Amino acid sequence: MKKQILSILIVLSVTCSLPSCLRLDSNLFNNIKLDNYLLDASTSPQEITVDTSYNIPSGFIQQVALTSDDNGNKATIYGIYVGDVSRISSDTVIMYFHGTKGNMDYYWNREKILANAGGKNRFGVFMIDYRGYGMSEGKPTESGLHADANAAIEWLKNNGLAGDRLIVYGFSLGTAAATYYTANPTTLVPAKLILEAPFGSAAVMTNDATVLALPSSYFTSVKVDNAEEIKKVQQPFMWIHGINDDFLSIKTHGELVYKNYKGVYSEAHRVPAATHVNVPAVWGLDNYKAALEAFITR
Amino acid sequence: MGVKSGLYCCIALLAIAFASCAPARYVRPLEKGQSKVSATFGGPLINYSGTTIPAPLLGFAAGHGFKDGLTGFAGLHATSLAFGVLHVDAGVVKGLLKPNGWIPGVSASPVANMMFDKWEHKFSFFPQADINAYWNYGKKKHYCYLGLANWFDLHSTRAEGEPQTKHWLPVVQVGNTLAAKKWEYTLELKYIAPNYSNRDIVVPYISAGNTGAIGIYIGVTRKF
Repeated sequence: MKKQILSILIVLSVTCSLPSCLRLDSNLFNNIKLDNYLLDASTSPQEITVDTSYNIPSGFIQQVALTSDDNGNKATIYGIYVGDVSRISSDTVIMYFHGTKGNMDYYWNREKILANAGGKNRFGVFMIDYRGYGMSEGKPTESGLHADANAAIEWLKNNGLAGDRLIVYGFSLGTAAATYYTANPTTLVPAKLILEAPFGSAAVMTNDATVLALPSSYFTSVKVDNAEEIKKVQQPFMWIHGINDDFLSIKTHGELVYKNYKGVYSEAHRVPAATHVNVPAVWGLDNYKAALEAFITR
Repeated sequence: MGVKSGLYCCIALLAIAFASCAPARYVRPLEKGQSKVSATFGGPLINYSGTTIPAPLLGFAAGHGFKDGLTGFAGLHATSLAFGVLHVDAGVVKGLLKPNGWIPGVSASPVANMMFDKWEHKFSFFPQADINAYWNYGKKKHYCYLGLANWFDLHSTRAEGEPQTKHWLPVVQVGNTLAAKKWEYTLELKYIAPNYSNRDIVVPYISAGNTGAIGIYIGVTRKF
């Protein structure tokens, strides 16, 4: 029997010494690569639909390529600026960081809605595909996300934007980029921060899922720690969250981020019946746009 | 769409797996001097990319009968190890009542669950207490069982310093073990955390309703 137990122990030892390097980090990103952006011509399913009144004049749509440097890991990433690039030096611009799914084609309707807030092309809107998304090179990572955010705002600065006209808006995954950048600005100091359906952190997600207070480091190196980063944000802050968010609980994620904000001004919009993905539509596009305009111009 | 994707499904899958990653250990106490080594496979059912699957979790355990009615055991969770987390459990099974006809045998099992990750060197400890009733059949070789496992979370806070209000994670389990001369084969169903909502927690657990998760496990045991 000792031989058999020894054999089993050897098998167990071999099994246990298999490379213990599995991490779930890359699963944060649900990216889809593209050869070209199709925008209105895209057949990508949309969670929010808009009518033709939201269409953007073709001269106000500019695709740009940027170089993003993540500690030496350089990638060419792509963005779409909606507005008159020549007027960035005088316009107020919404820097929009999209969610995890797909690419900019998938979020094109959202960018159009923002470009219609307060009137057609009242504000410039800039959206980027993080590395690994759409046409952007590379693989998505959390540090790459922040590097890409820096690159985008650097481009806006190079085109004449000043920090007091920069509004940073993040949705879902994009709240990590938006919050982190606003808390730790490198190029321009944003004037205001808008977060829609933010997550608290990877640790909150882990605890929500398991009931037990397990460390998130058991599963992933990703932090996406909005709950901590928001504490550094002093700029006016607008928080939007669907009360029926079926993915990132408004209670454990959104309320936590809102509670941790200690800056000069905040407003909360808890949208009845809205889930994770449909806040603008359920709230009503006109209500949504009006609230954005009021916050941006206050 | 937001982040309704892989990371969080996987986190949730693995996270709950930590608390329910193996069928009950040695429900029926081993005979004095008897040893068993087990491999277990399975986990909570989840909806992954439109398909219902049990989490593919692998674990090993060994037990020894120190005296009649008292078995010691230890387990190693191989899937956790693959993620850089040393997760072991150790405990004893104490026979409280011997089976007699339709009257089941009853055993109780205090267990210590310990985890330590190589990434941030975080240690976790969760005590567990199980109680099971089992019925022998087939010349007393085989047995089926029904039990309640109880995980306890002693932390006062959870992520981001928020209060931890969920301190009891119960698991209802029912299983059957077929015994051959040298081998045993176990199939077990669990209803994990039936007292907690499974809504709005990032993963589509499969369950009987809006609470908990259902798990399916198989085990193969070699007797010595």
